[in-house]
Amino acid sequence: MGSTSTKIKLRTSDQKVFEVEKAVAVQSQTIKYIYENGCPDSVIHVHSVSGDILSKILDYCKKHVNSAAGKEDISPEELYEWDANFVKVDQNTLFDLILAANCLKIESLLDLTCQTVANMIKGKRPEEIRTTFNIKNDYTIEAEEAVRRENKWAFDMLGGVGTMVIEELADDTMSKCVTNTKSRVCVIAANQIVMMRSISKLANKKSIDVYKQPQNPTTPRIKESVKQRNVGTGFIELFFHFKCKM
Amino acid sequence: MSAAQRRRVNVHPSDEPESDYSGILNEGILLLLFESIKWDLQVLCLTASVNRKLRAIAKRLLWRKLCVFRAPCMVAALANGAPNGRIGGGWDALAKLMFFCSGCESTRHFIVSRAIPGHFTQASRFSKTSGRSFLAKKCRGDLLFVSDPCEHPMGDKEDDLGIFRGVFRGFMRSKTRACLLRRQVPFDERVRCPYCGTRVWSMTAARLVPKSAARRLGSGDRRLEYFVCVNGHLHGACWLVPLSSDEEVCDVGEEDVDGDDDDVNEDHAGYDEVDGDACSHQTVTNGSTSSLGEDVLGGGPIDLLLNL
Repeated sequence: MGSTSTKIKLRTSDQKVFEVEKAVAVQSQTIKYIYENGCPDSVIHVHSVSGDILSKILDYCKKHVNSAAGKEDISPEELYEWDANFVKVDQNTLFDLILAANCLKIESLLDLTCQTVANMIKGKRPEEIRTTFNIKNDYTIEAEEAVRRENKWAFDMLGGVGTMVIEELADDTMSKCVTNTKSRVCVIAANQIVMMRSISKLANKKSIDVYKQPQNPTTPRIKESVKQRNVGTGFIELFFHFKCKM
Repeated sequence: MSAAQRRRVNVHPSDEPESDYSGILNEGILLLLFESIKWDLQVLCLTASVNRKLRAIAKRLLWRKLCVFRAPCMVAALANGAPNGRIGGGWDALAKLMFFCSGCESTRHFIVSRAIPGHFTQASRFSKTSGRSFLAKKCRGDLLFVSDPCEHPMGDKEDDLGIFRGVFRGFMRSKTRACLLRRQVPFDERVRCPYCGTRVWSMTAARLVPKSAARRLGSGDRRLEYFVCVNGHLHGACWLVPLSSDEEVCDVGEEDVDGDDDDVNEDHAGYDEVDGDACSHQTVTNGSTSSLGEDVLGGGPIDLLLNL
């Protein structure tokens, strides 16, 4: 064997049958193992995966196999984009994909789906996370404050620096950060430290306009204005508006 | 989750009634999620803050798994070969102890000119050998891990401050605790454990600070203090003599061959066998693979704080 047109049959929990190319199906380590150790002509049962989910998963596997084999002319960036769109599904589907990717042992898909969920949590406040996942807040105000204090330690950074990262500095960029520090804020854009400001200096001004001298000639000159407001105990929200001049 | 509980259409979150069935409340999914992101601390802290159920799952299961992942060797030693069991003070307190320098305030026997706030630490090294130096002679049978001191410069006119923490194995059955109870040492009035909030004993007041502790830290003559809480967590501070001193901090025969201390992308703490004694020390490192991970830029002391 070794023919690329070998097909494998898969039957799902809801009795749907899929016939797929072997190269695609064996992206799943589970299917690969069963195929190589069982009878290759019979149908492989995927008990815990439904037809809809398997269909999506097979799309993923096909795309990645074709891309790796050079059958499709697709750059790594385009594949990355495709993956990002692939996980734009409702949450129930996303969680089903996680369970199925684990069951079928497709590591790259498991990482992709888990990372997607992690990104819904990291960098967010608890109330935003509750909204995202439709979870009822069952804390009283006092209890919530106690839990917040209990869990803030992983965010208390040395030197009390709050940092905001901007991926790309376009001509006109607006960005917001919430910092729980009272001392300094540091802004990083395109991997360079663009500015560091003492929050106490910002405190007395509603907005400031400052030109920063570029550290090297290729760095754009940046004019920024900053507004700040209190958003609860110990938190300040800073709203930056950058204008670039190349 | 049964098919009846799932819906297949794209639904905007605000259109749905609040639900107890979100997949994020499912233990199986949480385990897969955290394994995939290598037990990112900030994500776990946020998850544990969302609602009571998630906090309970975190306390029972997720914090334990995080500790085992980040410090397999030390956890195995502390849990007495029963890592599925409980640990004094809880696994969340141990995780905080591994990754949080508690800062320092003036206390009865140790005065600082200004208070240092606690802060997250990216990587720390805990050592049993080091811990031995903190045990009074009669308590040397106890097993205690202590971290290297976290160094805090205090200005030109003062020595650097060294802040350290540690944890006992099986504190309830330890000689140290028996000694404290026998001597009827009272709890310190003001200080509380920064990791689990319980009462603490001042080891200076209890006269249980051996000379070896100051030598071990590279501190001057007895300029240190540390506290032990009822769950066996230790925290303390010392003045660090400038390094032109003759005294070396490490013991002969203990080699730190773990070259991963400074690699913030290391996602698994390694351990070494030294002198035939498995796991005399353990480096715990927080390496996150999440897309918004902790990167140190430009070699400077800048850490990322993400919107909290």
